Amino acid sequence: MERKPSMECKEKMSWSQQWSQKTPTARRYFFRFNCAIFFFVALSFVLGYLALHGFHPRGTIACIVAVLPAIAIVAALVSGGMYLSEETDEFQRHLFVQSILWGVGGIMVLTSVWGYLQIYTHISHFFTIWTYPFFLLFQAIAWGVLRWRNR
Amino acid sequence: MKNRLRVLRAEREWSQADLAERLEVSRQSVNAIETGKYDPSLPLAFRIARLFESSIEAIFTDEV
Repeated sequence: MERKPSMECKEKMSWSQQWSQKTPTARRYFFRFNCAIFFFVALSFVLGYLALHGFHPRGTIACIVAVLPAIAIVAALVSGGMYLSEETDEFQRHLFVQSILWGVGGIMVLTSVWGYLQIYTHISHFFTIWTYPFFLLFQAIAWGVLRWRNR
Repeated sequence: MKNRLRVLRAEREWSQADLAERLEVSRQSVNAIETGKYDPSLPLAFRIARLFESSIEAIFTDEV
């Protein structure tokens, strides 16, 4: 059956189909990113579990242990940078950059508000180790909204 | 910026996906350009113009 051309802005496609539409570069990015995040989550859980069970390293060991999750964060950020340099679809790059800006903006607003609340109220201390997960959360929400708006 | 992309595409009986494939971009990119949500870069505008065997000015106008 011959397919009719569409004058519609958006052709009929389910939301899941639209969501799963990724460029090959985006698929590579998600693979690299997921690997980095897997190590970040795994290390965070292991280090958190050890800390709760009396593992409190000092000196050089403490520095090495503290740096380990950051290596996974650097890997995730590098995978984002590689995506931006490899992605040939400029609109997808544009959406990705926008989502990063929303992520950065979101975490800056959250930490600023939390900081002032710490001064004026008795709210608990914000653990800075949550900065990156919250950045990712804001970025993921922004990415989802941008993808949905431009489906 | 306005453009005649949707009209040119319809004249050739191409879907957004067809045009996206020819331009080697995502369908979302074609949709965003058609609806005026995104203005393409000069290289992509040239690719579009070449594909439709037209000039950039004939496809894109700077009217708001």
